[in-house]
Amino acid sequence: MALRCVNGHETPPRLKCEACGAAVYYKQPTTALLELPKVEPAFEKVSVMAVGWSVPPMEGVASSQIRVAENESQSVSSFALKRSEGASWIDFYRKYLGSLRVWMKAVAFDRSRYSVLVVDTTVPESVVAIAALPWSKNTFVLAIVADKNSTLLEQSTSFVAVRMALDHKLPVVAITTSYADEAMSYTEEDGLAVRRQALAPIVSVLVSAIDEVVDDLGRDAKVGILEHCLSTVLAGSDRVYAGVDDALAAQEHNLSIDAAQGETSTVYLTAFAPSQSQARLEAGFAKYRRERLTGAVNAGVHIHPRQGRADLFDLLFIYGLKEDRIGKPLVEAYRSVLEKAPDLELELTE
Amino acid sequence: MNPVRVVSVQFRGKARSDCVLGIDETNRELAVSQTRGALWRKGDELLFTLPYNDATTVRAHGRFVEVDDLTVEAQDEATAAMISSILVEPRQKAQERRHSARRDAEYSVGAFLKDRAAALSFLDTLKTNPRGAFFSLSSVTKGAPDPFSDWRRGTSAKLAKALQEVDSTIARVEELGGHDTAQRLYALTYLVGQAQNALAEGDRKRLEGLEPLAADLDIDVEVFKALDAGTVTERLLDAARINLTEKPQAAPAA
Repeated sequence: MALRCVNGHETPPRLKCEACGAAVYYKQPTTALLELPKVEPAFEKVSVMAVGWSVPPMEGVASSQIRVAENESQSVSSFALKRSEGASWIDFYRKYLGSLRVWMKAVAFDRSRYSVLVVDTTVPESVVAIAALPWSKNTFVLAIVADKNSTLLEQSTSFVAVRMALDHKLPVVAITTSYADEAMSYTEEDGLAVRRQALAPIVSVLVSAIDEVVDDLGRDAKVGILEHCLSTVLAGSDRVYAGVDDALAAQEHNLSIDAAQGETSTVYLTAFAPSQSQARLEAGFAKYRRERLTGAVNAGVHIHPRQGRADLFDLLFIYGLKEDRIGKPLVEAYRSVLEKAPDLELELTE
Repeated sequence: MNPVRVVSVQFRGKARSDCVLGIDETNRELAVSQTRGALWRKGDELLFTLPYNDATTVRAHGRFVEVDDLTVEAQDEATAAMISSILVEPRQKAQERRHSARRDAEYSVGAFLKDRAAALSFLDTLKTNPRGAFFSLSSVTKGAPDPFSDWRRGTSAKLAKALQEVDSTIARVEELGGHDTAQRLYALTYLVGQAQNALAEGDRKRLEGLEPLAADLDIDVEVFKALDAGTVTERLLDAARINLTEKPQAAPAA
């Protein structure tokens, strides 16, 4: 709004008009101060929330954590549930569902374009964390799930957590505890990592390819496929594998869940590879799919140029699984626990 | 005030003894009478009346009170002081009212600008740390579906109310004859608000454009070197000698 003096001259900000020396009106222009600048919060594209395991910070990714601690506390990056001796998932669920929902809103977990919950479903706080997730079509769960090496209680909790996610129509990418405990990965930046630390590069690759991953998971969800597993080849090279075909065949023996041939319905490959390898990868993937996944419901390949050493490639496979593939091995343990502790029954209709 | 018997009065070179001084506070007029006649026929005869106003010079020293050209010799010092205070009191009250109105207006200007600086600071946090900003809202919005919109609505309403308060308090200053003060207070509000905007938008050039107005308001332009809207608000208000530490008491009735 232009400033004017009492005689109507337009004037720069002065107490008296430079043209005629009369007083300048300021009352009306002050009303413009009621306008505040238009600011739209620019949230990170990806939010990752970890439960029961930690994920190292990633650039441009909002990281937060739900954990159990001596005292209850909340911050923008962490919600601590108070430790309680002998607590099972139902105790945390009853006590914290409301406040966790409020906290997830408060830290704007659903404001990113993509939200990922990385959760160890064998821990009792996993169920309430999944139940409290705000509804968003671009959210998926990367879950460590119990297997035959886990205790009955872990299997039962894991069963409940996975069922809770699937009931909320959330895609689940499952990794068994055995896979997590035996994992080994190598990256140029961090070198060799073992056990659960070796999962961090997997999360990093998932996040790097988040557009395609969410797109593929969403496409599967439309045909009712919510359960998935994955496999990776990180920092692979032609020197380690005789060629792309070998690498594609080798990853199949390293699935994050023990799925037999015929238990997978879809397959997606996201690769970070040097440009000279891209044509070979596409051809190799087409061949692999023809030979190993005849009659796949869906398949896709996405190739990105890889940063860093030009002769290395990272491959991330996501497989869509037949229905109830994740929960089936756990249901017996769940029933068995339920016989002894009936209050641990999962009621999915809230 | 009841008429006061005084020893003498001197007005325009003429001295009279054994007089009575009456003060009409409503019409702001002095009446000087002299006692005349003997014994049973004694009475007060009005000699003259003298109007007085805020511009009238009133000075008391010892038993004497000077009211412009009139000098009154009272019976004692206490009576002289009483006459002086009756003449001066309305003027002091008016001055107190003006002073109080000015302080009210300064307070409301400062409060509006501080609220605005806080809002701009929050918007700045929203740009750099949106989750932190959202989380800071959570204690007041309690899981509302859209806490930012709630904040925006609440802040707009708060600022509108604060600006209304600025308008009404400055109007009171103007009513009491403080036209120039009112003009300066609006100019100051404009100056600080525009400086806040310029800093929030990182527009140093716009800030420089405000320097002449700051100089007109006797504010050191160095103040503009503050880095954020909150600091510049504090410094500008400080430079304008506006004290916000204490809300002023209600102004005395007119």
